[in-house]
Amino acid sequence: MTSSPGVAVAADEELGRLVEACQAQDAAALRELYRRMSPMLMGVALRLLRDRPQAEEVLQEAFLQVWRNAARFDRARGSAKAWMIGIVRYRALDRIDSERRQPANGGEIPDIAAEMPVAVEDGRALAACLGELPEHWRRAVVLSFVDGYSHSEIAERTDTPLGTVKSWISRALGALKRCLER
Amino acid sequence: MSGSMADDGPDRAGLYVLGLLRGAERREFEAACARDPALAAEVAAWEERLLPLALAVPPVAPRPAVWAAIERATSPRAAAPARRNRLREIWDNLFVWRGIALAGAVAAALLLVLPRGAPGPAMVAVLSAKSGPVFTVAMKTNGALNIAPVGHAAPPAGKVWQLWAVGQGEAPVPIGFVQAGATRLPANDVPARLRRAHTLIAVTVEPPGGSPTGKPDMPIVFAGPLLPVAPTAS
Repeated sequence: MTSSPGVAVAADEELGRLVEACQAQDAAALRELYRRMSPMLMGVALRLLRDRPQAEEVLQEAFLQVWRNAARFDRARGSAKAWMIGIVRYRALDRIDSERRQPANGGEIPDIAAEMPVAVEDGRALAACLGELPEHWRRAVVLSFVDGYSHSEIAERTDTPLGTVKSWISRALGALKRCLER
Repeated sequence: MSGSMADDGPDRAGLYVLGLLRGAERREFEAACARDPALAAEVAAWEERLLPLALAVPPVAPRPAVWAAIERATSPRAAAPARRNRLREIWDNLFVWRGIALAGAVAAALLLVLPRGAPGPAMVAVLSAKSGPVFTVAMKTNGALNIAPVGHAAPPAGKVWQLWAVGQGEAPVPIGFVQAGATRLPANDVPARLRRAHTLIAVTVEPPGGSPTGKPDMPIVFAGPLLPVAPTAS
């Protein structure tokens, strides 16, 4: 039932093989990687940057980085999906850091975490652990990871002192880690 | 050791993966990861833990131009020879390559009007059209650019000015867009290898969002080479 295109990305093992093939400058492997991963990665970049041309630039840069740095991918350390999402996210964060982002429109932000259990096959453990967090902790985690909010932007949005937000995040990280290791 | 115990101190790997380390803090953390495999492993562990949250973001199809640009950039030999020759011709014959000495004089004059106090630029360039200088460019060591108009100039209606960095004999690398007024481009948009004397900074007129091919197919409207600032200049 998990048929949305972002979710139907291949088994990670196969993605890992494609990244490894890119180490050998296999252009067909890069094309296949792009076919499978680009909608998901574009979604992540667009959500962070709120601007289509910038998200597309990040996507392009990220795939060039995958191509050039494929040798840095290490299956033993993590999945190909997480590795590629990391590349996109840190490139997008570079742009957020340099204040090239569209301002948030102030409207309601869809709560990704609420839809997670249905959307993602392996997301149940994280969804359950997020579900155990107090609502505002959970919200702060999602606003930072998915929407690229800084501590102070979360503080502003939730009308909460900065120190309190930092403490939410810090405690949420601790709780998530313990919960996921159970 | 470098792990975060329950309540002592923040879990910096976790904060990093959430995107909550910003600016210098983030770069320092990345440098620390490069030195410390245990820290890098903690980052990878957090990326894995939070992966389902990223996978839950609704996917969006990028425009076909994105793949076209990636394909071009990764398979230079596959590019049509005619097209490559044309590009090469444009860039090799560019009038600015002949104007380096003059541009140097203008760049030296430019230094006199740069603000004092703040760390000075490492490189400067004057982007000129055949009619004269249009923009001044000051680049810091980290690649951050300050671009200021010399007079009044604006891109044609419905178009944007796209900025490129070109190493001699290399394909142009897109580095951002120039606004009609002053433009600041952040560090690292100019690849480190191009932050050197005689790298050409050039501007083309492109459709909004920039060249769909990732290459400057439109003519250069103005350009100038980067020139080093003498260390004593600030």
